[in-house]
Amino acid sequence: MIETKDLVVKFGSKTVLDGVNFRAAAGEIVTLMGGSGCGKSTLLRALMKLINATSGQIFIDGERVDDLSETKMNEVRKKMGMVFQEGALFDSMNVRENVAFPLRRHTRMKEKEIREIVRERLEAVGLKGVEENRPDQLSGGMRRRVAIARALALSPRALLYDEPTAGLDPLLTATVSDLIMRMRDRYGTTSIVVTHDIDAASRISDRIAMIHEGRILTEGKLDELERCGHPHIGAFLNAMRPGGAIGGN
Amino acid sequence: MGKIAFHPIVTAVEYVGKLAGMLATTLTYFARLSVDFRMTIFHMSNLGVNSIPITLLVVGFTGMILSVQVTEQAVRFGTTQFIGGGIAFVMVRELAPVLTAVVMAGRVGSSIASELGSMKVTEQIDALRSLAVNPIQYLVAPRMLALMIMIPAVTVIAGLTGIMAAYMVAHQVYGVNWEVFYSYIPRLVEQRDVSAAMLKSGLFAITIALIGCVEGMHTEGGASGVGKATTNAVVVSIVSIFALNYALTVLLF
Repeated sequence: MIETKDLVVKFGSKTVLDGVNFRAAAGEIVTLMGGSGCGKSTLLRALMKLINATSGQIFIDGERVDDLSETKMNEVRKKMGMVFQEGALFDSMNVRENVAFPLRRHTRMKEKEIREIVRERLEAVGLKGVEENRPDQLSGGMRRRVAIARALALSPRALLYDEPTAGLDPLLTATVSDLIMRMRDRYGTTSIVVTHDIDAASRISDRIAMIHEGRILTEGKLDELERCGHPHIGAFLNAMRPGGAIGGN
Repeated sequence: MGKIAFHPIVTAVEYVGKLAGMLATTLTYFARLSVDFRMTIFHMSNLGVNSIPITLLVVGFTGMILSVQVTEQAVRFGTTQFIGGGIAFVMVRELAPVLTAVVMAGRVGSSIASELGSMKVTEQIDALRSLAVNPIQYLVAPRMLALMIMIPAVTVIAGLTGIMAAYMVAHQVYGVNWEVFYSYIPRLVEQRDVSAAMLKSGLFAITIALIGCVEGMHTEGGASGVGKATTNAVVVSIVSIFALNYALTVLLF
């Protein structure tokens, strides 16, 4: 479904992704983990072509997209959705208008049909009665759920999540994690999730890819990563565990 | 050393490149009639109609000041018949287009830059792109079209207001009647002056929209970046308006 070959992204003289070979099969949930600034979010943005690759290739559904024009890429983007860290909801619109936005832009649906889809998507993310609220009237967790509902509006085949649980309390983290799995089960979406949350990653992932200094060090289930013996991965996982240097209690 | 010395030139060339790129893309959408007209009407009201009061105040007071200065001298030298024509001539050719554009740059250019800048730093522009919507088509084209319609329209209203405000002062303070005030206006202000003023206003509108949008959509660095982009939009727009006005005055008259 999604594949990169020798993907390199440079910002000026700084190499952020240094030859990434990555693959996510249809319906799979793959988590990208690694330290801050290692290139996880950059990889998501490169997959959506929000930033241009310096070299290498990106394939979505077997179609090479890294050399597509913006207009042609927009056709590919309709098959994908992205959930940004803080939701990136349009603050000039209420919740209903946010979720309806892609439907109004890209379909000829009647207003009644749009309202029905908006209601269904919001229900799928566990939200009811918030349609008229503005984004600034929502909590962080609700904003992210609305963002997921908006990303789902066009029934995409793949969803990219950029730190969907960052800054959320454990209960909300569990809610969003469950939601990611439910979206896969309900809509069969391929999911690529960037997170620092090791518990959430081990719960939801079919596979975890560890990124370090712009390269994928290794991939696998959490226990496979723990056994791989790579000193950086061991140190990272220990630091992120509850009671570790970053994981807290 | 050479790199440092050339840095402002490189920055200026890059900036012009961004303006040219955005203008070219926006014009492509205009040519394809691929502009959201509902959004355009919203911006015509929000950016244009709401700017009318402040523009009329600024141009009206300028007309009054001009009238005080000119009428006093005209009465002294017995040339009152030239007051209206002279003021209308300056108002149509220069003051109405330039003052309207400067007020719009302050009010509208800053508003565009801060709104788009906030969207940029909160990833809303990336969100638009991820939803397969081109930000230039959705955000820039309707704003530019709205200003291209509204700034010339506001300029006409402002010019008439400035001339009437000047007449009010000439009449109330110096007793100049309407027939005398009006007598030389048709002889001094020609059709081509009005057309040139409209052309100037249209080009000023493009300048304000373009600079506001470029500053907004290239904002970096959170809230302070938005503040910087807003200030830059106003400063660069106003300087550009005066420079462009000089070039157009030389070319058109």
